[in-house]
Amino acid sequence: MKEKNIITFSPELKKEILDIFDKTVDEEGYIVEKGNPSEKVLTPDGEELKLKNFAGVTKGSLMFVKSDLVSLIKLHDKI
Amino acid sequence: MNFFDKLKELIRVRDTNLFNNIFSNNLKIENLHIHLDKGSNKDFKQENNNLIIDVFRVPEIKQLIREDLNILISSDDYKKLETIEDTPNINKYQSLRGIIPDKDYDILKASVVIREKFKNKQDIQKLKEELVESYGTRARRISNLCSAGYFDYMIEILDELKKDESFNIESFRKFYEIIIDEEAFSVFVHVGLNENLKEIILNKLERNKSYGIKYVNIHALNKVNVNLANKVIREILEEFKNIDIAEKKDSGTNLFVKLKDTEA
Repeated sequence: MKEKNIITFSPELKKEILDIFDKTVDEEGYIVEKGNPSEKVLTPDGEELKLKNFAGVTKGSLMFVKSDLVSLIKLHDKI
Repeated sequence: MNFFDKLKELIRVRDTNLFNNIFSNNLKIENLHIHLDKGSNKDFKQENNNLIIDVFRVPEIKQLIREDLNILISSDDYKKLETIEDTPNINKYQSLRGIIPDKDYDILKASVVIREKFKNKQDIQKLKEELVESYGTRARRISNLCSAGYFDYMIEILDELKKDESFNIESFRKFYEIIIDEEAFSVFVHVGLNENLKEIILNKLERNKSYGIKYVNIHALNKVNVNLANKVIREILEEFKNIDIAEKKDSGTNLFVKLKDTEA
């Protein structure tokens, strides 16, 4: 994977990373649009995503990836 | 020009000091791979993080990340990606793709990763919990069956069936659903079952008989679970004279017992 353009960040930076992409976290812990907090961010599988389950972002239409193994295997197959 | 060359160039043009700070001091670049959490000193690490976050806010760099960067991922989850990359035989059950439900196939691949980690004596608890949290008890069943080797039998059966010209996917799917729903007519022992284990085993045996199967397979991994299973099996054998052991493999940390109803 070293040849595949990857940047890793410390887990404690999750909120800052989301902020870069104009996302924030609502009271229930879901990732939402900063400009429209009622709009929840969805994973490529169409699931709402909580900060604790947020793994990272991948290119395309900026997809937000969940941190469970199934989601990461799909990501791995894609890169 | 690759992603990191473009990134460096954008930062250099914007601010030479920043460029020097990031690429000369704080950030290590290895084969197109940047870790934002390098550095053992906490203050140094924080400074490094702040620098790179600021860099990512620059519109041209943000655009570059959106368009060219493959993944921006937390280091914890990157470790999982490395584990996935290093898992042998992750596609071992590929012949089931398109035959079993897509979601089950995805869970099965994740279960292979968990199984290999367990074989390497690594902790799998958190990964398994995440899998069940996201995909429910069906995921637990698939993971248990995968760890116990049932999917190996399943692809052998599928290969055999495919040789027959009259092979019908639907009939295989029905068979598959029964195996998943009934956990291959097995009980997978864990300490959470402690008080009810005897009842669960006996109920499973009764239920299996409704399918014409006169036995129940009992699986236990880890010493605690193996001890619990052995204790309850002894109680069952003492209490029910019609139940006997048809097969047993016990390594101390991995137990398989086939209990048979001799009167059924």
